[in-house]
Amino acid sequence: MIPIKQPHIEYLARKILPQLGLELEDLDGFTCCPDPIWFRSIDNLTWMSVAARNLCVAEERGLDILTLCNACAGVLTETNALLKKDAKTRTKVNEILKEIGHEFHGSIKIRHVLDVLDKDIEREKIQSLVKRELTALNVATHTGCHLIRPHEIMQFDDPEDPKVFDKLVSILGANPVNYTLKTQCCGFSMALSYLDASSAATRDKLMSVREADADCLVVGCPACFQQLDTGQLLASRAFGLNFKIPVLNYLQLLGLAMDYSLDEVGYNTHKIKDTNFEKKVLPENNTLKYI
Amino acid sequence: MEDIDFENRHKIINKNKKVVMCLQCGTCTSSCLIPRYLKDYNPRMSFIHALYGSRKAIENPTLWACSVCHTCQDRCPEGVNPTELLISLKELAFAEGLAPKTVAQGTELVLSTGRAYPASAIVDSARERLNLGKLRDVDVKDLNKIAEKTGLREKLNKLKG
Amino acid sequence: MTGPDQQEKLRIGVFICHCGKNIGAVVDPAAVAEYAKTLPDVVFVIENLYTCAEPGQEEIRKAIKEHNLNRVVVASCSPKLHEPTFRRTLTEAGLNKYLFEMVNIREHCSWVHMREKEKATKKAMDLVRMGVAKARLLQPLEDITVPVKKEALVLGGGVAGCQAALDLADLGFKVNLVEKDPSIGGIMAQLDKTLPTMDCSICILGPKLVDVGKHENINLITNAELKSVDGFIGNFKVKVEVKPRYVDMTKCNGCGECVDVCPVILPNQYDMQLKPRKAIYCSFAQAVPLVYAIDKDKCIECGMCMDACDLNAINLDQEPQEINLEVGTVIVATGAEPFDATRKEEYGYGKLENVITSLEFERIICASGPTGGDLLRRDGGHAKKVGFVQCVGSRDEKCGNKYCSSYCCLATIKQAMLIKEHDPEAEIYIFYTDIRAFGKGYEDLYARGREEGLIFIRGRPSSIKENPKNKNPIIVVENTLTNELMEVEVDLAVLAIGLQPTEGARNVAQMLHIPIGADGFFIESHPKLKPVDTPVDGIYICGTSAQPRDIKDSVTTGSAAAARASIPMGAGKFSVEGITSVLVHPEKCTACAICTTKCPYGAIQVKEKGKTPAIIIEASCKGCGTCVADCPFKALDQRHFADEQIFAQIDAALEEDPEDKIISFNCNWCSYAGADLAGVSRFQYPTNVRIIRVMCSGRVSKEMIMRAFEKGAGMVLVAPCHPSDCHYISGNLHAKNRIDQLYKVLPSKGIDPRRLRLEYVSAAEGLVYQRLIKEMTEQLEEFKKQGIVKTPVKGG
Repeated sequence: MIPIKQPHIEYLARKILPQLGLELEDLDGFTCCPDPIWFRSIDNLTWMSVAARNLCVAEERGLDILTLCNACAGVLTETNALLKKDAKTRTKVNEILKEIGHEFHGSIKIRHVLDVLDKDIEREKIQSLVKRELTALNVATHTGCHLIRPHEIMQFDDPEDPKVFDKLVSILGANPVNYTLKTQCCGFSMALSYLDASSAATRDKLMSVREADADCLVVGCPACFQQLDTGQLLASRAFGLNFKIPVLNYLQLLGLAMDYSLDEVGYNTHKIKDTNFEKKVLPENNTLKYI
Repeated sequence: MEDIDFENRHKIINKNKKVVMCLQCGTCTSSCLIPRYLKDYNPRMSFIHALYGSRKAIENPTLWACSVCHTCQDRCPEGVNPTELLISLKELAFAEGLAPKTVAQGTELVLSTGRAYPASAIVDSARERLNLGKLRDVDVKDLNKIAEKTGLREKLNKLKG
Repeated sequence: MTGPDQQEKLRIGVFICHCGKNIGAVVDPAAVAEYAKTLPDVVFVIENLYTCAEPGQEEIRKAIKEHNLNRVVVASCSPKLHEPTFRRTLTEAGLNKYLFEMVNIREHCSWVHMREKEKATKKAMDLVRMGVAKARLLQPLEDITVPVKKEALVLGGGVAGCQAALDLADLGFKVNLVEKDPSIGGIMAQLDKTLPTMDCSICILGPKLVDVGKHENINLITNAELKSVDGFIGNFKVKVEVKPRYVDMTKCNGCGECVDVCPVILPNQYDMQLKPRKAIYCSFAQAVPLVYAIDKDKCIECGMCMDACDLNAINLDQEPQEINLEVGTVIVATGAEPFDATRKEEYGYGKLENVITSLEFERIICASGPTGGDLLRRDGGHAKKVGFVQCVGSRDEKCGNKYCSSYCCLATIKQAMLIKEHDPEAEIYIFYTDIRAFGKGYEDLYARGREEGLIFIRGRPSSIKENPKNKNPIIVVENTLTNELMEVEVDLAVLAIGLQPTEGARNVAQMLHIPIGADGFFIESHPKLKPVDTPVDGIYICGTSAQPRDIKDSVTTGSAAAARASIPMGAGKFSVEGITSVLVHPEKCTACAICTTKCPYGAIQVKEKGKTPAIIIEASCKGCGTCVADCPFKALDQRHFADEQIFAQIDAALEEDPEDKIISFNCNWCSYAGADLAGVSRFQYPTNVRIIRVMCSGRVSKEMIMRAFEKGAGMVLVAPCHPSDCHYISGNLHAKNRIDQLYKVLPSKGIDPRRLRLEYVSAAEGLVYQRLIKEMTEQLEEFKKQGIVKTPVKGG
């Protein structure tokens, strides 16, 4: 989704991550992970095989997979764990993979970028990139669902009381705030057939964020982003509420702390913008430029 | 009064052996986001329908609103794995043509382009502006071979024609 | 071991049991009886409906007398159930009880092959043939009798332990009651009221504790822990370590002056950390012994208490003391621990201030507790609206406790009624999945609860949130009876926690060599017929150490354990089975002393290596046979499980179609019981397996396994206890080593090593045994197809 709908996130990842010492390699052959909600539900075996195929592509190069998306992280990690644990299913999937010249071994790991930033990169290293601490900013974090559950498999953070994302935000000098609906799902899945219900879920989430006096909402997933950004616009219209809570990907927030302009981090593409937020992230006497 | 349809019941049990452990405690439904916004969505009810072999288990269109967030799976005290169970029910629903049209369309898009979203000139120019280079080529031959082997291709064709 | 006297002609009687329909509906007893008649040396065969019943036993006695039988074979249920019964029958008829062999055609045949009647009948015939083959070689034996000291050890001073101790003491036995806390009383001392009668808990427990403290036959050792146990029934040598309480028990009179001056304030465990205590403390007012103790870790050694004490009872230099005890029996009453509710994170216990556990509730509602009996919240406000969440830490796979803790349903109703007593206007919700009202008076209390207006909502809450304005817990649940989602805001949420095994349980089990179940609690010898015995003679379990229980069942099992323990102590002696190891060929013994390295009981000794032959101390010999199997010179043999006898069983099993058979060596305590459990549970498996019973997998020698292969067995299975669970401590380890060595040489003998399997099966793993046999049978079919299993050449 990111390369097509939110390419600025890809841009930021390619620009920032090497500065933190990460070596990124592009592999030919990756396809859609595929999505855990609809593709999986019409044929679980195909879903697992396509996911396993993606894993094989990386295994054959001996490289771990880095993802920028919760769903990709969830799908690939879950498939990896399931196939490693259950010999019967593994045999079945390998039979299918054999036809296309692959074999799953379970030799690599899948890492979401937030997980890498939390567990592999030293706090000081990230801090060394920060040129402008975002101390005026109150940030509400949304870890999402597929990155954090099933807890036994994902092992990213405590699903009942997630703290990792908050930690990453505070490294940038910003102030993470707690809000009552912090662990509530964004509601993306309902948007397909039940737009009203989906807007209502987004509305409740945003009202909770507003109550906590947050200036923005930070996510780690393009689907969450779309639901909370475009969905925010739809919810505002549907319920006559004027939400103005900009939603950003963590990499965008990091970029701003590294003194990238709002343009460069792709803020201009967002549906929801707010001058109050903009003032808080820019140095004094700066004017905005839009493409 | 609906009798128990043993054939259907056994079909579902064979797919997910743990379904018989469901005690109807309601942990899944009260953990879930969706029932708060969609009145007809209730995983627990779907499971009791499944246990009785009732078609209500697969006919409910709100089944497709599930986000597969795994919260019910994390909490179920009987280890029933409601997430997997719901996916099985959706698989059965799809096979009978009860899935929303967009789901099959989305799947076809992945099988024909390797991606979940369509490429276009706008996408290309946005990427160019960011110096990102064109979208990598994706070889979908393998994806389609998989779909053939698993029988998904046949299922999709059956629904088209 | 040679056969019977040449003069004595064998006269074997075979009794085939129908066991009602249990055997009779699957195996054809008549056909088996007919077959038995054809076996050499069998002179009498009869069918019984229920051989174990008095008429059946009478038939055996009659037949022995009338037909001059000198060997008896009963084909019926598991010897673990009725071998003692029939041995007694033989004794009554004047025959040595070891001339009896039992063939298991129920648990190991009719119950597991219910849909294969013909094959089951054929298998039963094979099993009878095996039993008769062994019976031919049986020898009369004498049991060894050991004296039993009339003194007992009771571990744990909760209500079960106290009951057991008092009963034994009243019977006239000396009892040592060891308790790890400074006072006895256990969890019952922390409860406010008991159900269903609403008695004050400490009021009814207190007098019992006083009786324990006063009883001239009870030696109360508190603040102490078990360090080691050696020996055997009648003669257990126990080491106990008494931790220092820094107060001289002979001087302290419980006046409490020291407490007033102590400057250190700490949370009080007895009051669930809701009320403070000092570093020098007495757990509760009715403590027995009423002697203070100092929490040395927190003590700042200011010496104020010493100044205040007129009796000079405080001694900060007190050292731990080791006490040695010699007892005839041991009763384990170590109890259980409350479930740690922080493990159920969704409920916010430990984070949300108005979410408490049921045990904390007991202290709060108790008039002598931290709030004087007022139902107060953390902010001091009165709780009017209370929600009880059931099954916390029980019936929960995610928490690792699948069992039901049994008392919590009614304990909650009791607690709700207590609230209503104080405040009839209180609004009380009980969130449940089922209400289990199994005990006497329980259904009545449930009914009264409904009459008092308690609101029952059927739904298991998925989480508890908090209203940030007033810190009220909000219980999130689906009402499964109305299909509605509810978010119920209450003043106080009470989590009905269950019980789980104590942290030290595994340690105690290892010290005593008693088994622990999959749920972590101690296992009784038989769930129905021996509810307080353990497989180790002289050691009994009671109270919540065996399973979560209510007070009544704890007291009942405490008394039961005392009764059971008083049998050997009352008799003053105990018989050790005569199935011990024996040096049959002293001329072959080279005093290599390898046998001494295999015995964990020190029951076989070589005084001078290389010089003096091995000596067996029979009273210590448990009859596992490990030394026998590992003797490189075959100088040893085991009575009643002799090499010749087992070879005869192997030969008999493989007389026909050996390549279809799986010979399974099952040990009496684990895999034989596991196979029995598969039978009891009616887990079905293919008929190929022929089980040969040994006391321990350590008895299974390389020669026995090779004998089976030489006779053409398709596959051989040795099924020991899991590592660290062996009834004879290390027999299974030696079995594994032996078999590992055998694997290396099998190919050179033309035997595919995959035909020999070593798989651990415990007494609780009926399912595992079933799956194993199914899997091995499938494998055997594959091997046969691939020609890996060949029929033996005659004479080979």
